[in-house]
Amino acid sequence: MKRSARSARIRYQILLALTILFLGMSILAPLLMPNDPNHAALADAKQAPSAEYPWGTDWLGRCVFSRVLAGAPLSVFAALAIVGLTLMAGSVVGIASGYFGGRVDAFLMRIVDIFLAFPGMVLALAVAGMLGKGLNNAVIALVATGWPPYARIMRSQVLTLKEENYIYAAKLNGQTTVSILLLHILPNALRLVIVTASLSIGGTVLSLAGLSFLGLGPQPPVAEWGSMLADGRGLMQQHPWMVFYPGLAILLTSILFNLLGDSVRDVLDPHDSHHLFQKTQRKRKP
Amino acid sequence: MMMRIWLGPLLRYIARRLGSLVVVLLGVTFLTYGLMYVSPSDPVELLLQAQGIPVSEDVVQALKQKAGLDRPFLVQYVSWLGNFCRGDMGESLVDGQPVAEALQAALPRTLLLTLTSVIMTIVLSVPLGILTAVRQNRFSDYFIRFLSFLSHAMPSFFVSLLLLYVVALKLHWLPVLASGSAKGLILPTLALAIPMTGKYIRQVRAAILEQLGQSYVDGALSRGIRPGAILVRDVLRNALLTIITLLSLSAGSLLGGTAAVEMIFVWRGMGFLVMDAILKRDYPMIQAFVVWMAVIYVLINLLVDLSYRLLDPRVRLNGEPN
Amino acid sequence: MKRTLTLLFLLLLTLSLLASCRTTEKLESANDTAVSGSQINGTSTERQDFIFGVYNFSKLDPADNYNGWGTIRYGIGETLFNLDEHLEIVPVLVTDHALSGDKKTWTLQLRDDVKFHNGQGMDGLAVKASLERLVARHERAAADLKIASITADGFSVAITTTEPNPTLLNSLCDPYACIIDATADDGSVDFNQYPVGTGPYIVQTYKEDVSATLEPFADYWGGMPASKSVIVKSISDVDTLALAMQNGEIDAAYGLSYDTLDLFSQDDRFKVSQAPTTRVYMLYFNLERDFMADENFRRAVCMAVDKESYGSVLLNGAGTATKSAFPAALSYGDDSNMTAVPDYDPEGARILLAENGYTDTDGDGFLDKDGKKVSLDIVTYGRTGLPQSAQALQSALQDIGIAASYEQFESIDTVLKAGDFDICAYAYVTTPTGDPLSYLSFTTGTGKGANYGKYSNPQVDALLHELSLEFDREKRANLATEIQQIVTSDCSYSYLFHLNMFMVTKKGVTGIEQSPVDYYQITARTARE
Repeated sequence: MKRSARSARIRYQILLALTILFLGMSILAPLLMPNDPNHAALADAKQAPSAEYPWGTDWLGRCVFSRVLAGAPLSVFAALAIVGLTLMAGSVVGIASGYFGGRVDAFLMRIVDIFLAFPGMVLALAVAGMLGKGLNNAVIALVATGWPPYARIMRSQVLTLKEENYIYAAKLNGQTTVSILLLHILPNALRLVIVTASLSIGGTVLSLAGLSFLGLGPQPPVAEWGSMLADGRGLMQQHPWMVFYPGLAILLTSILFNLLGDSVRDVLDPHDSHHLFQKTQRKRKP
Repeated sequence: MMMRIWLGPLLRYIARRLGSLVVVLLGVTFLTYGLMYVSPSDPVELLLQAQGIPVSEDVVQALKQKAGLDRPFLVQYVSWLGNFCRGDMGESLVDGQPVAEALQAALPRTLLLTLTSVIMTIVLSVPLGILTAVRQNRFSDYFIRFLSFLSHAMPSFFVSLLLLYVVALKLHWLPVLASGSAKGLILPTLALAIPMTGKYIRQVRAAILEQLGQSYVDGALSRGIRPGAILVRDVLRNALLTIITLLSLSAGSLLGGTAAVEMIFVWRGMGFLVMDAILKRDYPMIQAFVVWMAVIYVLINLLVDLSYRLLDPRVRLNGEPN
Repeated sequence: MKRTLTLLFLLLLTLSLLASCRTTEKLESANDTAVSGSQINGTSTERQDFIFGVYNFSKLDPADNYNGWGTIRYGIGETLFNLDEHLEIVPVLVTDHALSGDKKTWTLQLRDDVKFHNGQGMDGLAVKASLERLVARHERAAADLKIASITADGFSVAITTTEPNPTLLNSLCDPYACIIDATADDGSVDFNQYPVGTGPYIVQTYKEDVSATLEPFADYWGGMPASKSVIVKSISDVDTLALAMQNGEIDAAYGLSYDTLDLFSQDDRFKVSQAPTTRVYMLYFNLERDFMADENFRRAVCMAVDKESYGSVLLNGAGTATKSAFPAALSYGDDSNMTAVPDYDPEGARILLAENGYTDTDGDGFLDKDGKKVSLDIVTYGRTGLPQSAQALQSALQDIGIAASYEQFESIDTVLKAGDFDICAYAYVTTPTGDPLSYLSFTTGTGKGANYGKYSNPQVDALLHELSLEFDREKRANLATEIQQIVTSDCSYSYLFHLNMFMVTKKGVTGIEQSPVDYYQITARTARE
């Protein structure tokens, strides 16, 4: 048991370091661009990778490499912001609902139900329709569709936690509700939620890409990985680099954060299954 | 006898859940209508803009009036609601055909695709997930998990087009256009199942690992029961609860149709229908779809909660005697 | 160990099941002639099925919205007159026509050998019934035709309009005027799926949104149709449409994306039929806004537009650069004497701007005038080619120092009506029925519905009024030319390029071509070989 816990810790630390490195690179990426990501040189359109354009050009003659770099801080931090906001919004509702119970719970859960039952696409399009295009509004749309699951998870965590003995003890001691919530409930409930959150970062990058696909989200000429995918899709057969490189960037981001999430879970809840088969082998030896 | 004892409260529970369905439906449809109404485009304008032939203002107004779009919001909503309760889902603003018919045609197609995708996902992800859990941190675990990341992180249109390109165009194993026959089910199912499998392999892995860490596993081992038996009889059954919850979430979204896949494979299900409706602001169609999604959502939740009850008798649903 | 083996075995089983499915499919498909790619090189002299893949499958009742386009496109119905490749009116179901002295009554002599699909002959009464049904249901048709009354006598029909209508015959070319047997629309069958027309093909099976199978009409007045059957398949995704065409699963494709032009034009197995249509991509300038109100500024903006590249690069050659709203096929589409319209000249633009007080006084890389930074709002909507052109324009403007923002809307109507724009990229079909009046009047007439830039010129208004009364074709052409000269001479409007729409067919296919009017597709001569 100890051995796997230690290796889980090590893996977590490595991944955390990689993630911080990645985030740092995302911020610095725009400084590394060889060309202006927004300059349209029609004469150079749809060119394959070359010395001047390391990852080729897109349909407007813009450098794909520069655009992917330019889009890094945008896509990555937008995804992080969305996950962070949904986490906060959902947690507030979930904790209130779970802790106070009764009418508050029933009312809040109805609202959660309504939002959960609401098809994401419709809501996203409606929000964009009302607020307009742009990255900020896309973030709002995704937060509006993304918070209910967190409310649910938080609520179920709180429901179990509030029956714990130490909570009763705290109440008997006269601690205020707010301090109980902040000091006891929140930290413990957050564990499971954080794992879910980190696992959903990759998915959020894709959702943002999906919205860009529908024409919402950041407006041209802003480089955003999702809209680059959408723009390059029709040219995939003959000019695959327009889709390949932004797709690769999305993939790497997604994988990194998913691995991080998995390792966080492994650290918080280490499980060892080796003993399941070790004992068998031991038994078989004469 | 035991059955009769909990049948009464069970039925009451179900009745109450279905009652909440009505509240949810009202909320959702009102919200939809409101949001659509507030958004600046309307179906008549979109149609005329797409055709690109300038039309006089009088004609535009006449068309809007025909579609009932010039009435105030509440009137439109209440009128829709009244018709709906009488079973009339209205007519599409795009081609004037009854919405109910369009839905009836699209629904079985989506149901079929959902069924095959879920089955394929289970068939692929459960064995692979168990494998990665049991072989935790070995090479096979990492390899399979890498593949699962890859498949889950690819956008659905990419998987679909890739499948079409490789399987149909290059290998000629299947035709590009096959939506009329059973053959046409294979590629869209794969396109949906592959990303889902990617996601579920890891979920299954986590659920199994959680069970393996429990003390009853050690207990059973020390009693001499073979690991394989423990795996199937106890671990899997307990993990099933988690797996079912997750599947229900996916099934819910699948039943709403996956627009990208449906459009590429020309599979005229709900996703295709609603995507088109949203783009053209076909309000009656959108409303009917939203109602459908809400019903599905509530029903699935109900089924999941009931199955909890069956799988784990310790679980008491709200309102049952303890 | 045993457990792993079992799991692996299960996996192998699943995979082998899938593989075996595929093998059986492969065996089946070898016999399925419509599917395999070997059909591409086959030859045959007997009539064959013709499979037509389309992106925008429509319903078929001409009196409903734009559904008439489907009726005409798939060869199910016909209009009294057609437009040829020069957009001139040619008679189809009519042998002769005459206009009364008071210019309000048109007398049409009909062909006497035309039959409807149900065997009924087409005579004056049938045409009268068809047109009356149309104007009762179709607002736009009623507004265009201005019919007061129709009288029928044998094989002739007299249409009286409420006021002199020079464009009546043009409007009769519009797909909504497709002649159908109105008496057959008695509720027994859905006219949107099974319309009774006069065309070479009859709808045999209509599967909602999926496909329509058409059988040839043996009594078609133009002779026996050349294909055994026509299957129109609806393919909602342009990539799938392209893949299906490449794989030889369809004989012709309409609605492909311009990105695929290279793919097919460079492949010997396919033929690309392309024609410049009357769809023009243009720029509206909001003449009420600060900078756009200045003619020299507008001129500079026009000089920054590299029209040639937009058409050739952005649309893969599917755009023909132009200065005129009308395609070259029309006499008034000749832009060779529109000398007042500036050519692409970014250097000249910079000089012009500098000469007129637009300089970069604060060193931020962008121009300003009288202390105000020059900044423009470019708006457009999602029609293919527009976002690309508008984005290219934004980049080009930045190159000459003008800051511009770009916003794309789903429906641009509200923004345009509110005047919340400086430049708007829009695409219009300028002569849907071969006549320029409607377009010119709506976009350049004072206060008219599509005059979003608020252009107002009494001279133009007078010319438009003349145009609405003039019956002589040549004089109409001259008026149109004059109006265009005026509105472009001070760069109040800018026309970028005409769209060359295209269809791809297999090499040996005949009888189906891209027409400038975009609604003639399946004909009696359409055949695979």
